[in-house]
Amino acid sequence: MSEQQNSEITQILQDWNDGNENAKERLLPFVYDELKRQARILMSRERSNHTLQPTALVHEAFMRLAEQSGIDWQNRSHFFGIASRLMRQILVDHARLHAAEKRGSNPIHFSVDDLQIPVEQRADSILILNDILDQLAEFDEQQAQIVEMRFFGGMNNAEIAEALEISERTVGREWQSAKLWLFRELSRN
Amino acid sequence: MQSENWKKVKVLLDEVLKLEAVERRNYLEQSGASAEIRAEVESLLAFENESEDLMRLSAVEFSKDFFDEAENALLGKNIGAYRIIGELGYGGMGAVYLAERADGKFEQRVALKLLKREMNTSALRRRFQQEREILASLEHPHIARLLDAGQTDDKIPFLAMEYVEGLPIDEYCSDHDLDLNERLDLFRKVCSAVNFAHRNLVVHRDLKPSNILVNEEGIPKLLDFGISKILPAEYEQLNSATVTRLGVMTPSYASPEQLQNKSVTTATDIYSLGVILYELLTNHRPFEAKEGDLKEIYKAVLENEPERPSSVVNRPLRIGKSLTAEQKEQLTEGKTRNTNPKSLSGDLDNIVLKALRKEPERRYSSAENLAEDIHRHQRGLPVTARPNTFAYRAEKFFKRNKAGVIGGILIILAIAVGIVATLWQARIAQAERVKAEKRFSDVRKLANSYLFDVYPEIENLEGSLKAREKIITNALQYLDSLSNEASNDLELQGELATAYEKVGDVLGAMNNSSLGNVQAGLDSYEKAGKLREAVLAANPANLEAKEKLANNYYVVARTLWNNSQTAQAEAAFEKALKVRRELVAAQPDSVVMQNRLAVLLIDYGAIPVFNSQTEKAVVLFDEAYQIVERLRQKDPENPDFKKTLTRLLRISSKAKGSLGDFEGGIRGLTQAVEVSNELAKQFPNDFRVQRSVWLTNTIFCELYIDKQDGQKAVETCQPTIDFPKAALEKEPENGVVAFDLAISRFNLSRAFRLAEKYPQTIEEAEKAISVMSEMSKKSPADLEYKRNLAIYETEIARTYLKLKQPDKVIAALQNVIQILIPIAEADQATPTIRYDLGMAYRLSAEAHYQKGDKAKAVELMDKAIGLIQNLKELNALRETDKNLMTELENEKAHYGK
Repeated sequence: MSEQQNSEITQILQDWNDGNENAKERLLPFVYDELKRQARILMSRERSNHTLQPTALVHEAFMRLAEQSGIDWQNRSHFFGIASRLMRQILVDHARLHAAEKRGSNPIHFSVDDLQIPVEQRADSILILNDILDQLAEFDEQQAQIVEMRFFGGMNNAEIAEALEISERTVGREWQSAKLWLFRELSRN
Repeated sequence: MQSENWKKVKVLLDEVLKLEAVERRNYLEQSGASAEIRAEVESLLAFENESEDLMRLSAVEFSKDFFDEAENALLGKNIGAYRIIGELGYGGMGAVYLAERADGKFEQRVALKLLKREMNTSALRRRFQQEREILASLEHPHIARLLDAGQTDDKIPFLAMEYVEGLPIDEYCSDHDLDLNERLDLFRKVCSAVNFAHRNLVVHRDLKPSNILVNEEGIPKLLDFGISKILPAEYEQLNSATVTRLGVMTPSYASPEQLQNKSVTTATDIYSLGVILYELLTNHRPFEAKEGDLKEIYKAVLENEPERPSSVVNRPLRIGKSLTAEQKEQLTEGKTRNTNPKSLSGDLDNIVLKALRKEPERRYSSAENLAEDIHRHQRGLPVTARPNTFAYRAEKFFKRNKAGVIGGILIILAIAVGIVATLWQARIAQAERVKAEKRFSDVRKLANSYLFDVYPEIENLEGSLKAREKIITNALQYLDSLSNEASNDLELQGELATAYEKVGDVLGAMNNSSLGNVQAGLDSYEKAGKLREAVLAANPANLEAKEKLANNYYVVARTLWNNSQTAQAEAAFEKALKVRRELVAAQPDSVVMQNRLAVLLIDYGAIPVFNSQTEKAVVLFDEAYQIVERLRQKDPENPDFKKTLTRLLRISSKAKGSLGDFEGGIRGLTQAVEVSNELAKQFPNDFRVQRSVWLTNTIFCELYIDKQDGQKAVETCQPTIDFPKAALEKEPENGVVAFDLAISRFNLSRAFRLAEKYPQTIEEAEKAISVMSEMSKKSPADLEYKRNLAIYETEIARTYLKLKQPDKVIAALQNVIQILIPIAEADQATPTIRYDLGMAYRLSAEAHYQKGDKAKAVELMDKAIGLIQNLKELNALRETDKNLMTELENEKAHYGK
């Protein structure tokens, strides 16, 4: 990673810190490739003895960026927030690509057992979940963020609590109700 | 939905979810919430069970099947001489592809590993070439060979490896339902491959099931052997650091030394083999419960004993661990592979745990030995592995001989870590306390045994320096941690003081083999002194405590003095003297006490001798002489008294020499040589005694130098080289003998100059400089080393002056002055430094005069005169230099003409 990119990333993070939402968009190209690569690594590990851990993926992407850019990442949890958002974006982008090809196939069923969801429907399921999550964010932004961090970022309750500076118990409670709400909305689709 | 309403829904939902299903309706009705809210809550509750599963999986997992599609762009492309024909997956280093030779030279399928782009490809290739021979020699039926290294057109480095089709060994075992014996047979084949590689000096560093593939014929093949030889260390570190630190690949197979970034040896592979064997036997990894949390897994690998395989074999497989289809099926049918715990308990437990020892040297010494032990077990023969109990450790400790010292130290450390952990736990769990205290005292005994039994045995052995240092620092480490637990325990504080002093001996004492790091040693002594003062203050009548304090002050004083910290040294000697006199007064009949007082007086007297304060020296020596004479009359053959006498003769003769009484000096030294030779015969293996002979001879040689008798000086100085030279060859890190060698060479150099043998003068001085600058590099803060360097360089300057090469003189003296000015400022209490500096200016003046630069010569003489004048006022000029001021003034006048 070049010097220029380093200072650019630092600047972007600064902007993000200052509440500039479009900083995320600018950060995307830097982090996107790394996260995508990490996602591939993770997914190809199905034969290994390790559970797929998106947390690890985010950690990995984070560490690699930190290492390569030489930035001292003061705010670790801050990065997880970004990474979860990006992870969501990456997965949704891919789902869109995929769904575009299969446009017009079967109607969607979000089944209780994930293993029963046909592959060709999973991409659509991600897209739907993405939409529903946007809806949730309209009336409970924090809860949507928690879902995003957990489902897309693979963070656990403790990590989320740290990132959002709330108690772990609160995260647990929010997750509980969010889960019910999301599932109901998914079932309606 | 309104945020307001949603908040109410959440609160209510939270309450209701805590209740049993039957109570919920009732609760909702009585909640007082609006009908709308209640309806919403009820609607959500309907999904309670179903929603559980959904969110257990992650988006990544969920997306994996459609994720890859757009990305398989590399297929069919050529990389180097290879064409990609498929993807094999991702390894820790990058993507791995299946490829075949594109140039048709061979029919060969290879696995291509693409590495990170930022790797330096030419370095990689170079290393591959360098290692080619070793890699080529790794031809073994169970090792997949590394074939090539290169880069793609867009500069991505890659490695080509023999392609192996097969299953990871753990999957193979469960897929083929291998029984215990079959698993052991298979594992022994793996060991043979590892052993083969080790014999070819190749360590794997990353053994794990996914690197051991077993093909349909049941033949295992180890992947990635040799990669560690080719990849630069920092690459691997970077890699393992990111990977392991983050739990992407939990460091399940990494050894303690790998987690600590210590050196990796064949023992590291043995550890990984141990983990793999554990897993093959039990379907569990030693610390798998901790794998979710990186801190936990580190702690466990570094500190915890793994559970015995026999005790975990029937434990259900962990939830959350990703399972093969086979395993899932077994689970759902309620059967895991049933190994009888009895078949593991005993030998196999011991074998696995031996491979998993924290200390590399306590594992199997080779993969072959590991396999052999397994084979013995299979044939019903006794195995070498023993259980690793505390009793066993203690037994081993007490039986240990000198050769085993280092191994034993690691046991101590392991126990120390264990005890600290135990004590910590004891704070939490009161019930554990009794047990912890028991171990506390066990360990204390053990450490004391080290300090008081083992250490003295090897203390005076030549070549034992490293072992001593290890013993001490390790014992100290854990005593420190113990003292935190028991800060009111005076006895323990005393033990701790002893430990600090021993550390000081090893680091800084100048009278014995030491590592020559004086300041660190001093710090340690002074810590000990504080503890000793506290112990004595608690019981002022305790003569033993007083004795120890006196010794502490004495050692501090000597070390300070040896480190040219004159004022502090004198203060410490005064403190020691006060306590010593109290001790003699308290035990008037003790010859030992009197002898010690004499020794102290003599050593103290060395300071005024050196600083030309002769009267003060005479007072101290006189008192010492009277004591020694009394003692020798009582017991003439006593070696301690002999030692004291030589010491006194040496130093007083030196003093006589510097007073100009050479005959008196020679008489004293002749007697000293005689007595120290007697002692040397009496104690042929005692380093101190042998060194004492050297010291006596050295002082003799210096006396002839002072007398300006070149021929005698060369005669006496030449043999002094031998002892430190031989000692240094035996123990190259021994700072004391290195210093001695430098001094001897310098003396010889001076002797040669007096004998007008100038080439030899310069040669010896340069040798002295080379020894001394090595030491100075090791301890840059050590003024004494710097000062010596300056003196040796001055010697060279003097010689060039004789040879009429003023430019070389000036160059050498510039070095000298640069070294001396900061030291003279830092150490005002040692006048000789200013003397040396003055002499450097004086010589430089003469050189400038030789060149014809009179003005410069006068200017430099002024500087020299200023310094010497100051010394004269302090009464710090030697007797032989009493005319020095006049000489300097004359020289200046001469230059100024």
